[in-house]
Amino acid sequence: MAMAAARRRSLLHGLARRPWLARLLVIAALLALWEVAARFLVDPLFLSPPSQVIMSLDKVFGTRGVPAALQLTLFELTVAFVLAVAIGLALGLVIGLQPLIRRSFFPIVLLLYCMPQVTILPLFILFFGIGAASKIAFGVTHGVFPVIVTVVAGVQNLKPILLVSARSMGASRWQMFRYVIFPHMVPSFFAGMRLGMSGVLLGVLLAELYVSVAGIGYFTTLFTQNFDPTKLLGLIGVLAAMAIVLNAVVRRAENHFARWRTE
Amino acid sequence: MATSEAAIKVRDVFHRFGAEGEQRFVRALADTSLDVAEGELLCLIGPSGCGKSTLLNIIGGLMTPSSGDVEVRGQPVRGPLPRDIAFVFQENSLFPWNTVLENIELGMTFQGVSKSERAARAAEVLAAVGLKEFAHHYPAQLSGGMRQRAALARALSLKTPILLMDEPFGALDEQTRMILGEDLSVLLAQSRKTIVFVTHSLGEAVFLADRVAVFSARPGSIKQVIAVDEPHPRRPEFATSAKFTALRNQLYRLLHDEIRKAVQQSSAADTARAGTERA
Amino acid sequence: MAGNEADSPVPPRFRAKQSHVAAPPSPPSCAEGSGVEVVPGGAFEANSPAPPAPPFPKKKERAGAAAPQAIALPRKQVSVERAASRLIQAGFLVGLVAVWYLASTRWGVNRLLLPNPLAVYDNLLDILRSGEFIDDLETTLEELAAAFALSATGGITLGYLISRSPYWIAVFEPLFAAIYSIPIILFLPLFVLFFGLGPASKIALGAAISFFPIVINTIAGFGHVDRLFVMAARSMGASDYHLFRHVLLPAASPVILTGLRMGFTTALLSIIGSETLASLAGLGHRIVHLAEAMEMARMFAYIVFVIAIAVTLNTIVSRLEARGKRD
Repeated sequence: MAMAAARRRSLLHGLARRPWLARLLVIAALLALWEVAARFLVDPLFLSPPSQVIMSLDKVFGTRGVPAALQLTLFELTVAFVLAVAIGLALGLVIGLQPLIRRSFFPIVLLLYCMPQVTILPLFILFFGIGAASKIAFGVTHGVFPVIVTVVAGVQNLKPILLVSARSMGASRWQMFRYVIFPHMVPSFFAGMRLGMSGVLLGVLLAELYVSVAGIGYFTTLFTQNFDPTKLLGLIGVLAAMAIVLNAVVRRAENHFARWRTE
Repeated sequence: MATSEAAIKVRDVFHRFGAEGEQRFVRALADTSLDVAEGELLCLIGPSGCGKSTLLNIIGGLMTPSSGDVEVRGQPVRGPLPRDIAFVFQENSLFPWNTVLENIELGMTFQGVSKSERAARAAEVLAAVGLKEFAHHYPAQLSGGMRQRAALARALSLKTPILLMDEPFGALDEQTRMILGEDLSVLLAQSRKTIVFVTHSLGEAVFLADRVAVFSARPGSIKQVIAVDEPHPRRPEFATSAKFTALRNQLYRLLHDEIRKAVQQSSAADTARAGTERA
Repeated sequence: MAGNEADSPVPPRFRAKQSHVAAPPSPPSCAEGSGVEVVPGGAFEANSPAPPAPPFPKKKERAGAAAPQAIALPRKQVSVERAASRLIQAGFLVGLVAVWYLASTRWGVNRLLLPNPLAVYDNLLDILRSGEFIDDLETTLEELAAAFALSATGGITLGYLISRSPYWIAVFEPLFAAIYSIPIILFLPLFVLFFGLGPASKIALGAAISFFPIVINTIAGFGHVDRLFVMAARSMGASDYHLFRHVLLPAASPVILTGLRMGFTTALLSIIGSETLASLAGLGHRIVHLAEAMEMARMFAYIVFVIAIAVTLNTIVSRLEARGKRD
């Protein structure tokens, strides 16, 4: 009795010291709930238990065309992300550094950023076809605005004293940019990249789900129509995990480049 | 050209912010004239908002006065003079993304100092301000006093004949301030730079300065200049001497009425601003 | 992941301040620094809570004396510059429409790709006059209201409960942050599978997506209240209720309001999005329907209409947010 109580106490103590352990328990509990629901409560045509989903992950990737579809989607994501970041950085710097351009065009950028772009998704398909181009383009328009906005903000919220101080020490315009404005902007640029990545993911996936003749969108539609929740959940799960990992990687980079802020 | 030995000459400088009739219109500085001799340490003291910092920025070429002229070492000031003048600001002006060492070297980079020379000078000034062990710390890792030491080191590394210090210890606590003041006096006695030093603190002014220029309330102008006849470097004992106390009291009497005036001004301005904002 | 701090061996309750909630630099609000007051948020993608996190840790620095003044310009110059940028904006928009017009009439761009702007205008007038949009608008707004009500209630309740203990914050906050980085639109096929093509799947998806910004900001809001305020209130004998009503709530509400606004725009976006992808009714559905029927002028008119609705709603919500923050 006493030993059991002591063990229980030490277990609770261990949990109290390790929130991540409790977090794992929460995740496990949710998975268990899902498992029970899928096994006993819900029609197997709609939901399959997580154990089965995980066990048949290999089957998902064994399905003819799935690896190629994943590859295609990843290709679209990469191209769209690179374009969004490059365009966003360039535009952000121009807008952020030129007062007249900023006053004139930043409101327009913000307005566009706030628009529900999904309304013009059909237009993208009409203009760019049903191939990769439309998905890339839609990803870029979703990813580019957060990058622009954060770069502009990063250039803007520099403490004026730092510019004054650099000027008093004789910094040239280029040196001001290279040694003051740019390093100050880097952390927000990474924050922008993270937001941009979420945007690109959203844009590309929206377009994929809409067109659904190739890539991931085709297979989610296929699995849904075949009432094959095991494969559907497996595919979605893999993509979701990928999104979490990518986000965490960029966040790490962001923290690394922002370490001078908090230390 | 350089007919006078004055390092800095200020002639009838007047400065205002905003245009007449505007709400934010302020006469910051009434006609002010001033000479600072080569190798002298001049303190500017006065109530808040009396234009001391404005005058300092005008001397340094960071601001252009509404009228009047400033000459530095015989040359009219048209913009920053990084080879003649180095600044230490009140606000933390170290670049937060650079370490202390990088911060110091950056100023020299701006002026095209060679790499080996940069390293040598940085080591020298770091030792001078006692921050050798903190060369690789980021500013955010340092205390306020250490940050201002680093900023001072950066200014010294530029090897300018003139140093302009805008309430460099303004944001620090009294004790840190005292120690920094003593160290500064020693450091500056060795360098024989020409220094203009803005401060709020009566004691700091008397302790550091060769002469103290007392400003009136806004629009600021120089009310009186007091000489502090005491050799550098000043010893801590000076701060407890009768001479020090007498000078400090003299400054206090000069300033007291001006400070009251300034406080009334600013609370009146606050009320006016609050009134228009509500309207 | 976001919670490395939470993984540290020191039990959170022993730390001096409740500061486990990572406060990443917030995506700048649309209203910031611009004449337009609209909402941030390409919402879906605004994948980070927006507590007011200054880019620099605030030190007790007095405002710089030199700098702001040095930058200040005479008012006349300011108004001239403002007029110049308004002129450029107007010119840009006129130029855009002019290019559109010329492209559709002179340069021979296929009418199926780019209809004449005049035709679009006529269609827009027709849509407004005939009132044929009412059913779709109603559907979309009902879905939006239901989804937002669900996510706001759920998010705030759960967020508050979690924020009561630094330990629970450490457990749940990284979890929510991680889920928040998933584009939940991926799960649309599942929602359709469970809830069908009708409004239920839109409501569920909208609620699921907008839940996360709301819960994360609620946790951040309540979790970030300065200990000093709490101690001051306690020292004056505040009861639990007083503490909540007069300290926690006012201190947390700006961040929570931001979360609600982000949740709202996100819900709107995901509902229109899911209507576009798989539905039977609603504004998004109408646009796709017209696209498939190749009625381009009418589709453009609907796009303009929907964007106007969305911008109006977002503007109202961010006005409300701003007002709530002022009080």
